[in-house]
Amino acid sequence: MKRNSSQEIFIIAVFTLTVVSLWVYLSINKALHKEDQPVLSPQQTKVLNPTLDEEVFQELQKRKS
Amino acid sequence: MNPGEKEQYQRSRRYFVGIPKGPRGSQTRSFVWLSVTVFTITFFLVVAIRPTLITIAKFNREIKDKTEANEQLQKKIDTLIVAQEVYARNSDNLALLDEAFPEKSEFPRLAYFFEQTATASGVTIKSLNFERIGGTPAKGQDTSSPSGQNLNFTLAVSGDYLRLKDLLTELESSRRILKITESSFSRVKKGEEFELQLFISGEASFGKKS
Repeated sequence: MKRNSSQEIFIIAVFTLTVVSLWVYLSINKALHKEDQPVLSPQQTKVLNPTLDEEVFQELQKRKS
Repeated sequence: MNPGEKEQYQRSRRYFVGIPKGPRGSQTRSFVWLSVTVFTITFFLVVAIRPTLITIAKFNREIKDKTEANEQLQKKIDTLIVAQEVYARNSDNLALLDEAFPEKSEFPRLAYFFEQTATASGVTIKSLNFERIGGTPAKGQDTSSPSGQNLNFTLAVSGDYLRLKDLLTELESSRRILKITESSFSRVKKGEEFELQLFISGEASFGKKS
């Protein structure tokens, strides 16, 4: 079937829309999964261990100074 | 067209309406308008929708990251509050820790402790040596531990076996943390008699590595 120029323009338009849609999807995907610099440094996120072996003090008190 | 029909057509020609090339022209126009629409959508997708969606995605990610950071900081704050309570409860005992692991070498105090313990155990100190503080260690000898520095000492005492053993036990149970690295007994001839001597070498930790 012979196509006229308007049909060809339409096919090009649809192809362009498809490519642009794919590009937009990839851009959004990249923005969502981009590894930026972390908000906090490892030193800031380091959690202290607040437990203390208090029996050590009793043991030290028993010892001679 | 035969002559009769032609004549009839000529007579009634004014009643005919010129119909344009209907279906083909309409289809072309539709394709053109559809193409314009698709191109318009594409244009706005590039210049408006894409930047907007990317901005939204970035904000979403930022919100997620900051929420996580907030949770981590809250966790840290909670542990700090607990640590503060533990510190307040044990602040009176911190002096004990200073005695066990002082900031400076405190070797006069350590020497006094050795002398006191030797006297209490009834043994005689023959020699007591401390390694020079701040000196360059010999090759292959590391005088620092991961948590601080070490003060090396050697002690030689004489007395009978039970008293020497008592002294060793006392040293091992001192409040200042001492690590006895070596201990050896030997018999030394002193005049007519033999004397039992105990050589002890060890290390006392102090300070913090900067």
